[in-house]
Amino acid sequence: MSPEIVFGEDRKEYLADLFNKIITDEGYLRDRNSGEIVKDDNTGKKLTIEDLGIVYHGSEHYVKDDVGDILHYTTEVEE
Amino acid sequence: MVREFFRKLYPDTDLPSDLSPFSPSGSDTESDTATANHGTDEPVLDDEYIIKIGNVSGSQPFDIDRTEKIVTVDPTRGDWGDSKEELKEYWREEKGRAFTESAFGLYLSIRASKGDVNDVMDFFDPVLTSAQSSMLEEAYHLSKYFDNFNVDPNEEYERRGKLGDKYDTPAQNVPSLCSAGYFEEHGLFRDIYDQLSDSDTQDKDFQDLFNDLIRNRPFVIFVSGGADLSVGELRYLVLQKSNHLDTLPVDIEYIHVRGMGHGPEEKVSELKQVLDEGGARQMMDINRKENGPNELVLAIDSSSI
Repeated sequence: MSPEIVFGEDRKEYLADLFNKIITDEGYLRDRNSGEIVKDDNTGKKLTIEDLGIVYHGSEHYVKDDVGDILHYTTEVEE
Repeated sequence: MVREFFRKLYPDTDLPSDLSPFSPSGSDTESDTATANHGTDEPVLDDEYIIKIGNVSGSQPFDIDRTEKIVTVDPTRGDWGDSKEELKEYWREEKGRAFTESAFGLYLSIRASKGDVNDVMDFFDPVLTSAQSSMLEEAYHLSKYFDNFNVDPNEEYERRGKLGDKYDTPAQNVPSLCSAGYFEEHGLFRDIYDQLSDSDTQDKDFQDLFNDLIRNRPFVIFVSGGADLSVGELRYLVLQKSNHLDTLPVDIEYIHVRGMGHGPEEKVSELKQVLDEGGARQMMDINRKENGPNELVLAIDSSSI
């Protein structure tokens, strides 16, 4: 196990930038190359920067900062 | 790895001479042992540490908090373009995930409370609808998070609101019901389910009752601080709740009035005095919580009001 990476609440935009995402005027995360809006892994709903909770791989998967979505991550993805 | 990580991030910056938190011990001897064990010069990591991308106020681009076990790296110091590549590599090769801060707290809480919450859900999941069960499970995790992680009141308010948005407004109060123990073994909701045991439609009846009890909470009043109900208004609310209990197909003998903190506790005590004068049978007790402040609980015999 190695240390977790955690982005402070006022540094979320750097987490988006780390994965080459820009923030639209409406606050959604948009991929710089493909132009696609990022969607939550569990619900498939569009993610805003405020909603961003976890980014994990295989490729890049996005989890909303919501109890149901994080619960889904711990139950269905992590275990 | 973290030393290497920092070297890559900030090649021109002197690292602190003591990075002992990232090896089993700061002593040379034990470091040598660690090196021998792992066959590499890299220090052994302490996995309790986190790498936080945040604000640093000193002159260095990073800060090490040995008490909280946090290494904070400030992306506004140094070259973010380079740092980004190193972080991405660390994410890709080492860790495979990155959190926002509030999501990380909730994640840790969910991991820590899963056993307790699953114990509760083992009872309720088979007897509730799928939506009720999901709502209760999420509310239970939120209650554990609020109780144990010193959550900022604004964050608590927002997370309750989101739960209400997802499952209907009354859901936002369910974490409080969870925290008060109403779903635990010997708690009110299990007692109610048992009372319906003679019914041919026990689960369906319970599901209907569950919705009513969540929406109206006729068995409890949470007295909050700040601009809240007066004692007279509280007394009226107790009467309303008592009338509601009379309409239910099950017996709920007590109405609880719960207060946490100086102001609310004082109000609960005043209410007790007023109800005493009216001849109500009641009992006051303290609910001692494992974490967080104790709670004053007034249990009023609803048949005596």
